[in-house]
Formats: sequence, structure tokens, C-alpha cells
Amino acid sequence: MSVRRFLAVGTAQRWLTAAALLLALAMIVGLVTVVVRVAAGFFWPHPLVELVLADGTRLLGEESGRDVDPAVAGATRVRIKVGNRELSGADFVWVREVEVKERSEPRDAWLLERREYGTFYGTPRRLEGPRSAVDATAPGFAAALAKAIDEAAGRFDEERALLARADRLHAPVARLQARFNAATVAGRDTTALKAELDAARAREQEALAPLLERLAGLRAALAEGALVIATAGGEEKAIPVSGIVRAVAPNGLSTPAKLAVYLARWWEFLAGAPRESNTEGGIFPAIFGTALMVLLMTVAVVPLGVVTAVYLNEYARDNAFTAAVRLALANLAGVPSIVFGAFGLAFFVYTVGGGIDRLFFADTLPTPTFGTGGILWASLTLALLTVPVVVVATEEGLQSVPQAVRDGARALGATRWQTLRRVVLPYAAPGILTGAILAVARGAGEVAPLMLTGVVKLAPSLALDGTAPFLHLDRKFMHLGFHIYDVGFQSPNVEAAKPMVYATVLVLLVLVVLLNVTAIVLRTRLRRRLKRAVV
Amino acid sequence: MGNFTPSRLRRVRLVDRLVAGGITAGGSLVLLAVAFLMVFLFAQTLPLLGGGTARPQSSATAPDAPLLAFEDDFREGVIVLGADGVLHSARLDGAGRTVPLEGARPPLREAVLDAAGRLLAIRDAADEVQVWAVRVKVGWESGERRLEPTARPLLRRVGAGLGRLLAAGGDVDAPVVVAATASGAAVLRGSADAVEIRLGTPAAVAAISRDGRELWLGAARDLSVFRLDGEAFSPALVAAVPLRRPPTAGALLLGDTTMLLGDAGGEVTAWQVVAGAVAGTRMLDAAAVFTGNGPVVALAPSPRDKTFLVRRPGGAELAHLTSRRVGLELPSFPADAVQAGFSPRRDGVFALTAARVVHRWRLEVPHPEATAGTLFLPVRYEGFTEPEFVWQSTGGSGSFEPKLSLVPLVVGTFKGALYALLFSAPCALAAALYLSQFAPSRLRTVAKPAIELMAALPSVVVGFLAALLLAPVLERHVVGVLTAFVVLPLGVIAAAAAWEQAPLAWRRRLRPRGELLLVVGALAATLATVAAVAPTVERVLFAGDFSAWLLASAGVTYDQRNAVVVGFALGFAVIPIIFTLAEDAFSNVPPSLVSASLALGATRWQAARTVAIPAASPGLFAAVMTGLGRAVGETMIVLMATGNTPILSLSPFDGMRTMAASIAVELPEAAFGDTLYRVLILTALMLFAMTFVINTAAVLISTRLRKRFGRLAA
Repeated sequence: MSVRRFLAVGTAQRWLTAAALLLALAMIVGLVTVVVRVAAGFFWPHPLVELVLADGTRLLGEESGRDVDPAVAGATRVRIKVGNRELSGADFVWVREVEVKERSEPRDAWLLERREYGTFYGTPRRLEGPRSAVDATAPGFAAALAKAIDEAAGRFDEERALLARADRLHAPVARLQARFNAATVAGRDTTALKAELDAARAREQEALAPLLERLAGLRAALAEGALVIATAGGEEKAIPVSGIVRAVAPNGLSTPAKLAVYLARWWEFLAGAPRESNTEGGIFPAIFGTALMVLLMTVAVVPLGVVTAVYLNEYARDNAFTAAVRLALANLAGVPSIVFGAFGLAFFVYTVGGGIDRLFFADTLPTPTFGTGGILWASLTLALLTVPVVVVATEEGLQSVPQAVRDGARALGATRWQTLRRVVLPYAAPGILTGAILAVARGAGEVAPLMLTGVVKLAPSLALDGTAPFLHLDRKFMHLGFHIYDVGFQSPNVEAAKPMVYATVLVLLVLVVLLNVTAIVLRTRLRRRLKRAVV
Repeated sequence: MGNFTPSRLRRVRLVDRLVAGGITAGGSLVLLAVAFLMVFLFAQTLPLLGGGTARPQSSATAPDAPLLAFEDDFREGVIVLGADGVLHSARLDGAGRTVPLEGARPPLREAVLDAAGRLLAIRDAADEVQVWAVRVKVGWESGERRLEPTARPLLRRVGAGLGRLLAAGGDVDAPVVVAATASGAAVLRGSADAVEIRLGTPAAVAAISRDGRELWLGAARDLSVFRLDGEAFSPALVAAVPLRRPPTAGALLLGDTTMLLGDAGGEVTAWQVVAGAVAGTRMLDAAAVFTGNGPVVALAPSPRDKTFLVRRPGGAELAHLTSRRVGLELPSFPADAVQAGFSPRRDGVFALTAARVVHRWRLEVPHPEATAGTLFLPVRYEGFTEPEFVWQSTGGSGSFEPKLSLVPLVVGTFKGALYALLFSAPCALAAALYLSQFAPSRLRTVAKPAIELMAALPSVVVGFLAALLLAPVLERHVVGVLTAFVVLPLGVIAAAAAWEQAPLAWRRRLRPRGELLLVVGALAATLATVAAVAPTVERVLFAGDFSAWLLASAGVTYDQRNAVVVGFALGFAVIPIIFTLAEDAFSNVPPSLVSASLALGATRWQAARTVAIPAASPGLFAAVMTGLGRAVGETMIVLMATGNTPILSLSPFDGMRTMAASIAVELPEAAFGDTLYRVLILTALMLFAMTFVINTAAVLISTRLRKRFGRLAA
């Protein structure tokens, strides 16, 4: 067969185009698979292995990766997470398979997830309580340890609540202090402020006294109790029970018990606060920050997007002006998000926020209130970014409304507004909803503009809380996407934090994919109706 | 029907009209927002264009026979040293205060101040050289701010036999004074004997670095640099260079690497020490020459940046080293000025005249280092021997010279975008062609939403995986991956050719779905072959280590986070954009055209090649352009996967820094209103302009396309 004929028939060309599509699909499937595999496996209680090396070293930990041994052909090396950071200095060690003399999975090996210094691997000796001690070989040891950890956790919760109350009590003093400082710097008269400040301080002290007493008691109780545990090398260490978040002996666990640990770890991840500069613990503040920011964004973007779509589709004639509006929309959709971030910083934060500060918060300047990044500015910036998404979806919804329905309403004497409000908009509601959902999905995944307008690696408090005015629009916030960037690239211990980042990625992916799938389903239905409407 | 009262109808009509107005206004808001965004960003960069202003301010009165003057940090007054040996603090509102230099015998003969304005060297009536540490404190007295000059004696030496005092420098613990002598210069430091440096002719100008360790001496015929190191304190010659004209003025710019020499010909030359031709040697090189009218009388360096003041008989002007810009003449500069200088914060200039007046100007030159030249042309920075494009916006010290060339960022941006397009454009266009022309219809219902989901994947996720998963893998298997890219298409073509040889009966039975399975098989077989062969290829061709081979044979380094990784990752983000638009373009081609072609006997490929692709080609072009726009502006992926080094290199194995990543990293740190802030906003504006052009073109193309085929379809 000649080359010419081969090219004319085009099997090769067709196959190449098919290969391109398959490649694209394989990439997305591969990406999702990797994320799901790493993230889903991370929280499962893996067996603890004890290795005895050729030189007599004993190691206890979890296997966390394998690689080719560069020194010996055909051999592998294993990466063991050995934890015990304060003793060994490093979380991981590479062990060459050829050096391993003995390998076992001891049933009495425990791992302790701690509030500080990461995981500890070892063999418990005894649990020392304030009055009595329980030996690790005693039958009630596991239950006693669990109970002690539970009690400590309860005390921690109470301590946190007390501290939050103390913070609330301190809030008026802090406000006055800021005004006082600013007045001092500016050289204004401070005598009245000083008296007010002293009075507020006295009131705070009075209210604080019983609180502090209770706090002292709690802390004393927290200091009690320690778990004496031996490392693989035989070194004994007493770890205060209050420093332990969870103690697991995975080698002796049944599958349901492992599942319970797995779910508990996921729950802690989703609902807990971060520890150890975000590399451990949970991501709740990031989830919360993302949700609140996206909600604020929706409040701003949906009305604007819907009005624009209604204008383009229902009110405007096809003229140069609407062409310009459409061009503006296309550009809003195509301009890089970082440009919006720069605009948000320059306009919202520095110009508008700085103006608000000069008008309403002059007494605390130069400390900015709104003149610095915050959740309000971030959500407004993202609202600008997502307008086209809402407009496009809403227009599609409006186009699915049969012209006959409009004509019918108008024929009955309804004004344009009445037609719109009573007939067209309800009919187009799925389109608007699709737009809102897609905008939320886009907003949840966008990071670059947020880096300029108010996202932080660790927010001291949520933007929504129990102190008036409850919703703090000026506060900085945490965000899932930024969390991934920050922990994956800026954290001091990237290697140890990597699985956590994968888990965060999974959460973000699930969120975005769910939103998009919902939108796609809604839109498919709408399109089916659109076909009918046109016919 | 009481409902239809006239008043109610009127109200309904009014509401209708109000709503119509409101909706029209709301609809226009989007247009306004984009226009405002553009104008606002532009307005933020406008101050970069202006050269700045210098406005005369109220002047102060100096005491009799003034020697020199300096200003306090807040420019609330001027401190003038008179020949009477007293520091007169002249507040501008008249309330003054005087501090005598105890032990200095009037009338003082001469005085010099160091560049930082902390050390004052004088020679008194008894020919004694004294060094004083001077400061201006702001104090309060019955609710009034007062300027309080303080002076502390540091050094007293007999000055007999010394010529003119040339410079003071060093710090308060080890002040250094240089004076001219008949055959060169003498250096006074601490209690040691004065050290004489022989130059042949008396030194005319001198400058001492702020750490007191480097001494520049300009004499009639040459300029030399000495190091003043060690306990023995013997000046060692570092480098020297002959001069064309005798220097009339000299000043060491902030940072102590550039010595400015002015001469009677009106030229100011910037001298820098650079590495010599022979390793280890150093030589003096003229990095820049500034010309002007009239001989240079004096030079004064700015205490904050690389700006300096050039005094000539007819007036004075400001110039800036980095931008090589001379300009901004000081209006009505006195002809009888005896001394002039900058305020400590470089927000003003003063000039002291013999007629006992201190003239003052308010200086607003906010961005002297950013000009079209420094932003887009190569610049020879301090310490460089050639003009180069460098982006290095911040440094460790206040004397750092910001290097704000946007060229490496622009090049990095397009390098990343082009590598991305190289991978994504063929892939996405081919996939769109397949899905719209050849694919089984069941596949469409799966593949389209899947690729839409691909578009929805947050770029931070793609960037994270690219940097922490793909980059290390690619580093180890770079040969295999690059081979796969060449071999995969070949494998598919070979498989297709083989299939053509298969019995006709088999081929007839093949449905599109079966064809897809065959392609999957061909891909898998090729991949497996590449995976099996790649290690051997690497061993044979590249001695088992590609990056080492690359460095040894081509001198190219292999960065782990490089343009190939970015190409992949950005390509991943761009594929769905191009795909969706290209698919739209193909779908807009009326099916009747393709059907007609098939009916005339074309194969499906021929129909696609001769009808569908040409008809859709403007749309395909628009799709690729839109993809380019997205790749140019993508931030998180390049931020995470490029390594962010702003180097100017086209090698696929080097990293880069893009405009978007620079904005993301540096804008939050830049102070509102300063040069870096405005330059980064300018970068954002450039990104905006680029994507604006690209998007507008894409929109126009697709609108025309729709119009053309709209008629055809109807």
C-alpha cells in the first residue's frame, strides 16, 4: 500500500487524534488517582515494624516509601518514619534492605500522636498517674491510657474555652490600648483615655480573677500523669499524658478497630485545628475560611451577574454597547487572576480600605484595620473574577425560557418587570443556580489573588465568632488552596507534611468536583429544556 | 376588579421603568468595572513616568561666616556651623539654639562632614584638627518640639603641615580624616601617627567608605583606591587609573562602590572597582559618564539611594546612577553657594551661601531608578562589567541597588507559555478533532464533562503535584519521558500501518469503539517498550546520567524545577481551555458540509482535513490564543513548579520566573507607593494588556465565524 493511500485513508491520523484525547483523559485520571491513593492511605494505621540492622541498631517506625538502592544493583532501600524528633532529630531514615538482619512487627509497639514534636514510636513501660501507676503489661493498661488521654483532652477543651473568654474580656482593653498608643504617637492629649483605660483594666482584672484561678487548677491537673515509654534503642522517656493526642498500637488491632482509628483521624483532620505550624492536626480553619469567603463572594457576585445577564438577554438591543459589554465580560474571564489580585490590593485594600481607616479608624492608625488584606477584600476581588461565570450560566438559563411564555405574560398585560419577576426568572432559576455553583467552585480553587488580598498561613481567630459584631470582615483568613501552597512549599518540614498536603488536596478536589458535577447535571437538564424551548 | 385602579397602574408602570433603568445601569457596571480596572492600574503606574519635582521652600538665616550646614531627619530646621565654632540650630520658625564646640578655637578655618552626616572634622585657628560626633536630637520643652544638636569630641590632632581637609569617614569608634599634602594626602586615624600617601601631586578630592576601610584619592593625573586595613594601618593600593582631566569634585555614592569624579570639562564620571584581566587583580573602570554644561564645582551623594547632586557655577541638577538619567534642575539655585547637600531622608536639598542664607527645596523624586531604560534595556549595575537584564528587586541592605529589569520576567513568562503550548496545543486540538469528527457518540458524553472537570481543577493542585511529584520523577526519568514524547506518535502510526495490513474482513467489522481499544493497546505497547528501553538508552547515549552528561557536554545545568515540568503542568491547565474552544469551533461547522464531502467519496480523514479543519481554523486559532492568554497569566503553577529564579535562559532544563509569579510573591511585601510596588503594578498592567489583546482578538474571530456559518446553517 502506498504512503499516499495510507495518508488518504487516514487511519494513522485518526488514531493519533484518538491518542491525544486518551492522553488528556489519562492525565486527569492519573492525577486524581495519585491524590486519592496517597491521601486516603495516609490516615490508615499502618503496621509498625521493628528492624535490627547489621550494625545492631534497632529502629521502630512505619514504612513510608521504597526506592532503588543506589549502591547495590537490584536491591531496594526503605524509608522508615522513625519519629521521636526530639531524640533523633530527623523524622525519616533510609534503610538499605541488604543491611536489615531482622524484621518484626511487635504487638506491644505503640505510636503516640503528640501536640509537639510529632509522632513518638516506642514500647510503653507504665502509665504514671498522680497517685498510682499502671504497668504496661497489666490488662487494664490500654483502657487506662485511653481514659487519661480523654481526660486531658477534656481539660484542654476547657482551657481553650477559658482562654477564649479571657480574650473576650480583654477586647475592650485592647481597643482602648490601641487608641491610647495611637494618641501617644500622634502627640494628642491622653489623660481622658488613660483614665478610661485604667478603669477598663481594673474591670478586666476583677472579672478575670476567678477565671485565672480555674485556669491554674486546670494547668496543674494537665501537668499530672505521664507515660513512660521506651524507644527501640531502649531509652526510656516520660511523656506527659496531656501532650498525647492519640495513642495507637496498630499491630494488635482488628480491622474494625483500625477503621475506627482511620475515621477518627479523618475527623480530626477535617474538624480540628492545625498543630506544629500546620504540618499536623486538622484543617478546619482553612475549610471554614474558604467557605465563608466563598459565601461572601456569592452575595456580591450573584446579583451583579444576574442583573448583567438579564440586561444582555432581556433589556438590551444588539448594538455596539452590548457588544462592548460582552467584550468586557470576555476579558473579565480571560484576564489572569493575579491581575485581579493586584487590582484588589491596590484598589480595595490600599485605596478603599485605607480611606475607611482614615475616616472611621483614625484613632488606631498607623495600625490598619481595613487598610490591610481581609476576608471582605478577598471576596470582593474574587467576585469580580467570577462575574462572567454567573453571567454565562444565567444567560443560558434565560435563553431556555420559551419566547412563547414571555409573550403570553406580556399579552396578559404584565409589564416587563412583572414578566421577568414572575415568569422568566423562576424559569431560569436553575441557570442562575448553576452559575452560582460554578462561581463557588472557581472561587474555592483560586489562590493567587487571595495571596495579595488577605489570606494568611495561620489566622489567630476565625472571621465569624462570638464577639460583636460577630462577622469580622476585616480579619484575615485561611484558605484550602493557600494551605496547600504554604504547607507544601513554605513549611519547615515539607517531607513530613506532604501526606497532609495530599489530604488537603483531596478535600479541595472533592469540594470542587462535587460542585462542578452538580453544575454539570443542572446544566444538562437545562440544555435538554433549551432544546425543547427552541423547538 | 378594584385592583386596576389608575394609581396602581401608574405605580406598576413606574416600578417597571425604575427596574429597567436599574438593570441597564447594572448591566453597564461590568463594562465600567473593566474600564475602571484598566484606568486605575494605569493611574497607579503613572508616577513612574514623571521625573519628579523640586520646589523652593522657605529659607533660613545662617550665622556670620558659615562653614557648613546639615539638616535633621524631619527637616524642621537647619544646623549651621559658623566660623565661631558654634553649631547654630536655626529652626525655620526662628526659635534657635546654639551648641559651642568646646575647645575649638575660633575662627575655624575649615570643616568637612562625612557622607552619613555623623562626623564633623574641623581645623581651628590654632591649626588643630578635631573630629566631632554630631547628632540632632528632637526634644520637648514645655510642649514644644525643639531641635537639639549635640557634639562629642572624638579626636584632636596637630594639623601643622597638612593642607586642606578633604574628607572624614569611618565610624564614631574609629574616625578617619584625610587631608591634602604637598605630595599627596595624609590619613589621620585614632592616636597613631598620620600616614602619608604619596601621589606625586597634592590630592584634590578624597572619599572614605562608611566602614572607614577604603579610601579613594583623586589627584591631578590619577584616581587611586587604597585599603586601610590591619593593626599596622598601612594603606595598600587596590587599583589606580589615569585621569584625562584633573578632578574638581568627588563623592562616594551610597553603597561605597561607585566614586563620582567631576571635572572642569563638565563631565561626571562614575568609577568602580572591577575584576582585572588577570585573575585576582582589580582595576578601576568608568561605569558611566554624565555630561553637563559648565565645570563641576561640587558633588553630593544622596543618603538613601544612588541619586547625586551636581553643582555647577550656573546652578545644580540631580542625576541618578542606575538610570543614567540627568535632569531635574534645582530652580533658582544660588550662584554663591558654598555648600549643598541632601536632607537625611532625601526628601529635600539645601544650599548654604556665603550671604548667610540657607536655601531649601522640597524634593519629590519618588522613582528615580525606574525609567523605560532600566525597565526594558540592559543596565550596567554596580559590580557588573557589562550591561545586563537583571531582576533583583530587594537586597539585604539599605544601600542595595534595585535591579528592576522586566525583561527576564517577560522572557520567563513567554518561555513557560510556549513550552506549555508546545505540549498542549497539538494534544488539545487533536483531541477536539477526534471527539467532534471521529469519536463514538457514547464517548462524547463521558469525555466532554471529564475535560470540563480538568478545567475546574484548581491550579494550586496541579502546581503542587507538578513540583513535588512530577519534577522528581522527571529528574530521574527525563530521558524516558522525552523519548516517550517522540516515540509515542511513531508507535501509534506504526500500529495504524500494521492494522492496514490486517485482513479486510477484520477491518470492516471495526466499530469506532473497537478502534479506540486498538489505540489504547498501541499506546500501552509503545509506553512499555519505552520504559524497557529508556535505561539502556540513557546508559549508552548519556553515560547513565543525563544531567551530568548535559552539564559536561553542553554546559547546561539541570534544574529539578524546569521549563519541561512547567510545560507539562501548565499544559495540563491549558488543554481543557483549548479543547473546549476548539471543540466548539468544530461543532459550529455545519454537519451538512462534512456530510457532502463524505457523500462525494472522501474518507473521514479527508473530510476532516479538507472541510472541517479549514472551516474551523479561525476558531482553532482563537482557541490557541486563548490558551496562550491563560498560560501567560497562570500564577500558582509557575510559582510552585519553576523554582522562581529570574534568570534569562531559554534552556528547557532551567527554571524561570514569570510576571505573574513575581506579582504574587513580591507585591504583598512591597510598600504601598514605592518603586517596586509601582513596577509590579505595571507588570500586572502589561499582563492585562497582553491578555486583553489576545481575548479581544479571540472574541472577534469567533463572532465572525459564528456569523459566517450562521448563514450557512440556515
